Amino acid sequence: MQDNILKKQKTSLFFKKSLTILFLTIMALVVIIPFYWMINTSLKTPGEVQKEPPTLYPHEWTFDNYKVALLGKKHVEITNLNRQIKELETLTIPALEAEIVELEAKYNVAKPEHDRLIAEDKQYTTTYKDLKNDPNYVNYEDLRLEVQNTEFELLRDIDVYNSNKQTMERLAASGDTSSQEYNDAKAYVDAYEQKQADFEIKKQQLVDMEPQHDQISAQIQALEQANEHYTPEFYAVYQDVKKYEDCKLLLDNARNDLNVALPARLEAARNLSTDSFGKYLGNTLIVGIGSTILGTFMSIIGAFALSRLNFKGRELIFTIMLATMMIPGEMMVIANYITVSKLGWVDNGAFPGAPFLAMTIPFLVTVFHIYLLRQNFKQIPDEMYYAAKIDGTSDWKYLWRIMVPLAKSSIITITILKLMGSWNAYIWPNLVAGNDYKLITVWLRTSFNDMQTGRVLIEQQMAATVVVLLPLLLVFIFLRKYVMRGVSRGGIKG
Amino acid sequence: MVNEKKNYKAWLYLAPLLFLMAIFTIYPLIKTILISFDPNYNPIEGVVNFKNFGFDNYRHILVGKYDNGVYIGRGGFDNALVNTLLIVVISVPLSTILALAIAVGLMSIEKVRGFFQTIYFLPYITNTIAIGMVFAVLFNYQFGLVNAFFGLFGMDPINWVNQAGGPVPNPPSKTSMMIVAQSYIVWQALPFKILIFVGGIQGINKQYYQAAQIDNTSKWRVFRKITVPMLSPLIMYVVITSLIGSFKTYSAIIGLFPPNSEQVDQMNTLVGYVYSQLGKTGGYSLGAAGAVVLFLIILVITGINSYIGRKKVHY
Repeated sequence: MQDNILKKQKTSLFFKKSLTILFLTIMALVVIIPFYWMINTSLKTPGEVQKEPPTLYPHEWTFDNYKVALLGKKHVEITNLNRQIKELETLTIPALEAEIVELEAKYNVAKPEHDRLIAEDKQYTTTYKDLKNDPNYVNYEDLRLEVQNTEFELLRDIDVYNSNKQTMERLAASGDTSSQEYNDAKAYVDAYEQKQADFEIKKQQLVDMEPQHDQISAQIQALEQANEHYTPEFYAVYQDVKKYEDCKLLLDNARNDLNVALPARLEAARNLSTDSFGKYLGNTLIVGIGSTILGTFMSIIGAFALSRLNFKGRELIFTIMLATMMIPGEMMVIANYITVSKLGWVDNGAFPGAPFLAMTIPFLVTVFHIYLLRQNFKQIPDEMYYAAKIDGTSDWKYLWRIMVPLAKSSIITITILKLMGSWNAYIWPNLVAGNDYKLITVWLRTSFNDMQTGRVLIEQQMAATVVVLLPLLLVFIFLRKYVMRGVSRGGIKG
Repeated sequence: MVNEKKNYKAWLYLAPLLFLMAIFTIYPLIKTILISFDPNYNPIEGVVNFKNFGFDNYRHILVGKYDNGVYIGRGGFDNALVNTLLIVVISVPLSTILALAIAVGLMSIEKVRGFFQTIYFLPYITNTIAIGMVFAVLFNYQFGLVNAFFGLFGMDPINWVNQAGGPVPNPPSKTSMMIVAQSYIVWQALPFKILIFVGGIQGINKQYYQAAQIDNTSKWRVFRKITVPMLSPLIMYVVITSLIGSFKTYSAIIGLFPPNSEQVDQMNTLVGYVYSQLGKTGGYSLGAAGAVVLFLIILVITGINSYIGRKKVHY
């Protein structure tokens, strides 16, 4: 009895657990699918991307998308063209030249015979065509077709005709010749009989035309039977000539490619924009490293003053700072945009590098980071400070020699958060930075459209996405501890 | 005597910080509020004109404006507000409930918990714009996985986001775009919430559960009577942060919908409204008013939070 209940409980528990795992698996799939699809798409060729329905894995996979994303269109195009030119110069053309010498000998022998046969063939073809187009022949065929059709129609409609005729006769017998029914039946019968009469006339015409037609027909048949000059010898000759001509065409095309087409494309490629990952990576690193160094420095000295030094108004300032954390950044956007425009930091800037200032200076102070560091500094016992003071250490030295090393992990957290912030920044950089100062995310969002067709170059876009996400993933794997510290203390995202 | 010296030194340490905050936080804050009351603010002159000082901008964006007797609407602010509210009202509860369910599910299994936890955490450290673009590819009209999947059940393909952005014969409906936006925002919100909830459940004293087990309490009852009450401060925290975050949604929309297209205009949010006003004639005034409205909304949420926080949610 008890055993039974236990068993029941066990099965129900097992059932519940399976349901839980099923739910977790489905949700995990939902979470993972975008990542899978991104990688999948980034490895496909442009042709495969445009398949309906989409392929679930890349059937013919390629790294070209990554090359374009990382090195830029210009670089990839020029490299490809140079490779093609070299291939033509060193492989294709010499091979064709060697081949053509061989073929030319055979060609010289075969050519006269070939020409003679072709001329003959041409004459035969002309005569044959003339006969086929002879009016006597054509008209007869047309008429025969028409007569056949009419005959078929007459046979098909004969029952209707008979019933109409009967109706007509019945109505005529009863003297009802003015009714609608009678008229309809009469119209049909008349039309049918008219058709029948026409048919008889045309049939007679056909018989009259027959002798002439038969004569031409016999000639055509004779020609068709005489068509026996496509002999194996002819094929051999024909092949020799054709091979030479094909080879010559290939050679001419190759030479044309080498001397005209490819140089033109190379010239066009040189005019492509140098938009490439490297350039925007550089911009992002300048902004990221600049704002990280300056911002962290200011956070450190600010947190030091707010935690270690005693002065009037310290708590008030800190409270005001914390209060500003509640204000959404969008509150400042409009006025800040006006400020940076007035300073000449917008677009391509009043001086080289000015947009970098617009992307760093307004965001140097992050109250959350000061708060984080202040917490850390406060944990360092006062005794250490007094001991250092007695030894004659200055505040500045104490900060950098003792406090900063002790708060190392918080500082690493701040650095990572700042770098990630620059890496992911989009809206503000997109607003203030001109073409030469774009950051990574702006490049990613705006670069991969085909200007001519309006198509989104999905495969390249996804390759670029993978490239942008990879460093974030590496940070997640290797520096998870530091990131989580930031998360648990208040979060980096909303 | 030491204090005197220190006083001036401390200010020296704080000087660069306070200088920057004054210019890029406090000054813009005050200026934005002032601009929002000036209907004709001109950024080139750069001076707030007190002559027409009033609520004109707010009336324009909230009620609408008459230009020579013709109603010219609210300048897109109503659309942005409705979109934002829809995102907040749907995505916040949905993601919170889903995250709670996943967290509880994770805690009830032991063997593969770590594996699942790693997967669920993946969307956390990502680039919002980048994954938004991936979602746009997933929801592509012709070559997308979502339409292919629904196609298995005989559904006709839907143009969800109009990825290429140009004019098309079958532009996406507002509903379809909203579905895509909501699913992306929920997807993105999950990891942080799961993380917080898993941590919270781990922190609950095991004795409560053991006591419930002895009483043979049903799982659902345990969830309602132990897990949720014990988690309530964390749930509150998660809801508040995600409310504020959702009111500031914009990057997700940019990632999903093609730049400079009609679609991205239709799906505009409050933050998007503020940004889109920059550079328009008269836009600075309206944008400032919009920013202040957003600020007030967030202030109210924060206020509610601290009020409830003081009362303690708990059990």
